[in-house]
Amino acid sequence: MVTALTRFGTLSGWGKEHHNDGYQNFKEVPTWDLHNATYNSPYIQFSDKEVQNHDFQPLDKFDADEQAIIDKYNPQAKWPWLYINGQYAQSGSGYSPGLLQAQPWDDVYKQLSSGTQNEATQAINDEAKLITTYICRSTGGQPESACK
Amino acid sequence: MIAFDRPWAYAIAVVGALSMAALLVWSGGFLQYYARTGWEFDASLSERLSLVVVATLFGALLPLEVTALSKARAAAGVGSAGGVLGPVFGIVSMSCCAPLLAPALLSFVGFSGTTLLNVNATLHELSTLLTLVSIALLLVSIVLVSRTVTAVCALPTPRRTTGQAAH
Repeated sequence: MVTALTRFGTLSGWGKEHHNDGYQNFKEVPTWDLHNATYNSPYIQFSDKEVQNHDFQPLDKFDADEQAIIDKYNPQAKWPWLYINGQYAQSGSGYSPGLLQAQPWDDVYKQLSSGTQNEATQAINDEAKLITTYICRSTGGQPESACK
Repeated sequence: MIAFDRPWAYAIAVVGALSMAALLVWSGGFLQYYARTGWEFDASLSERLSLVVVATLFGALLPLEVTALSKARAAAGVGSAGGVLGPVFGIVSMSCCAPLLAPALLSFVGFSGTTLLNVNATLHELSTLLTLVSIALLLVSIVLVSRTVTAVCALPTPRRTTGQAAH
């Protein structure tokens, strides 16, 4: 998702995170911390809500519109959940967290940045391509650099 | 054991256990399909253990319930607290306290997604305790229903007859 978002704007203030060791029987899975991130784009708005922290304590609250969307399209409250412009919704991860488990965050980041081809980077890039396509349908194919 | 003296009882137990396991897997969202890697069973070790234990106990409870119901019908009037409380404990353990099942059930009865997010967070936090309560309630249920079956099947004390004809 982050890779896709950077094609439409600038994401800053993000941090490094990981899922709890043993969650769903996976070892630590590196991920992004977008809790304090800001996103600027002339094409789209982005809202990230972290439901709970590592100790299962609630983190972010939803506004009324977000609540209505979740109640309507995600009634079983499956998380992670992605919703794009009333056109697409995705429940769960787009690829198995097992592909990234036990890998240091920096290693995965370097592999992605350098264009290294392995199962994990291919899965991430395929997912980014899919999300980019969804967003492009919402922006009417803008910008061309992302949607061509 | 009286409830397991017929082959169909084992069939009911196996079908019940497998059905409960399937329900828990579906409800817990443990079975995931990923385009790249195919089907995965994504559950933590404690979730796997809970699933196996709850499904096995449910499988053991089912033939007992069936036997208790059929025997109770045959001997109407031989009732006990266990006859009523056993199934009640069984149902309560699966509906209230099984953290794997609760989100799907609550969604089914109309809880909204955002409410469920908070419920899920609480369930995660209390999952160990709730699972233990679930298992304890299932065990209590098994004990109570077993007592009912035993009470219904106990032979009445034979009356002594003298065989003397009245003169």
